[in-house]
Amino acid sequence: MSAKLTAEEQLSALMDGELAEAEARRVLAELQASPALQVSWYEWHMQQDSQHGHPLLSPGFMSGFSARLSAEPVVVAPQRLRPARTGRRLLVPLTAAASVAFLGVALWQGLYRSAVPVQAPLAAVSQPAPATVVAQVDVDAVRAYLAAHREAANNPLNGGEPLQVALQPESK
Amino acid sequence: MEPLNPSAPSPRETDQLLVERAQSGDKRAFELLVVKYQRRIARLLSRLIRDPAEIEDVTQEAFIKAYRALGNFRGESAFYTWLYRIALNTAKNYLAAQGRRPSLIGDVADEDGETLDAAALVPDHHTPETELANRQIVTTVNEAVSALPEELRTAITLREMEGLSYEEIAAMMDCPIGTVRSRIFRAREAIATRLRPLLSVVGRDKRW
Repeated sequence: MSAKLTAEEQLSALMDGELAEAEARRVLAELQASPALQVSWYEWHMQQDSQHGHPLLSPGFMSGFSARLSAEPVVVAPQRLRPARTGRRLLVPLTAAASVAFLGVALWQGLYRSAVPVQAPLAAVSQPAPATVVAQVDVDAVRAYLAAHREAANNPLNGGEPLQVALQPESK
Repeated sequence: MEPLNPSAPSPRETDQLLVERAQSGDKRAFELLVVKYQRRIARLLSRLIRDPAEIEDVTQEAFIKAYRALGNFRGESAFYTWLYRIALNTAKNYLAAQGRRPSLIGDVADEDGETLDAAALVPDHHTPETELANRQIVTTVNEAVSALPEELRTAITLREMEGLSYEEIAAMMDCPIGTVRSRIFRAREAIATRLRPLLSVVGRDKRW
């Protein structure tokens, strides 16, 4: 089996959603670079559309569209904005950690106050370390949470306007 | 039935991979999405606009608007669902600018293109030329499918017409999944081989 055939067979599987993500990314990269694979992409979608009763468009449709697209400024939604999703995912453990820490402090304080007699203040003073450590974690988590919140609030992908970079129209 | 490969991106996720490339400034990736969806969008718009030339113009315009708005697309819905809404709005705005009303219905509430396509009862409108080309293409595809060896015909039919996964087809045909993948690919190639002479005359976009 030739390399080209393998790539086309994988493209066929990609169209059907039957490739693993890493393979899919690789085949998509090949697709963009290979005119032969693009022809297959075009023909196979035409087959599919024909079998599903979708109408054909005139032969010049894609070339006309490509000419219009080439005159458009390149729209870029920079990848560096994507970590917002990661940041959002990080917020979950952060907030969970903060909640657990808060609960821990509250429980510890409640237990401590109920367990330690008022008449024994030295015992409380002699064992402050757990509360101090927990409180420190809590403050850090809250700071991180607030920092992430500010970042997320300022992130265009979270509701603001997207960053669109207008470059020179491409010449094809 | 469990999916063949849990890590395999669905067609929706495959679209998202192309969208991400397009959002990185790669116009070719967007063109590949246009190749995929141009006819579905044209069919959608043919429910609202009767003139075939206008349908193509508005289809192009819808894709251009989608490209301009691509920075806003966050992948919260399927790309086609997002595109579908843009196409509908583009058509409505186009008709409103001309003081016309959609020829089918005032409002299409269902945002699922598949549902609308399946439910739509109004016929498409074509010029005699595109109608002829359509008929030739459809006839050729049907003949090509009929001429396939049985195992290829069964595999491609179960995939394209029934929408079954490779794993489901493998179970039905009692063969390995790799064989299903190969049969579907070979079927597509065999159909394409019969289509190519026709496309070179009536249906092939010169760019593609």
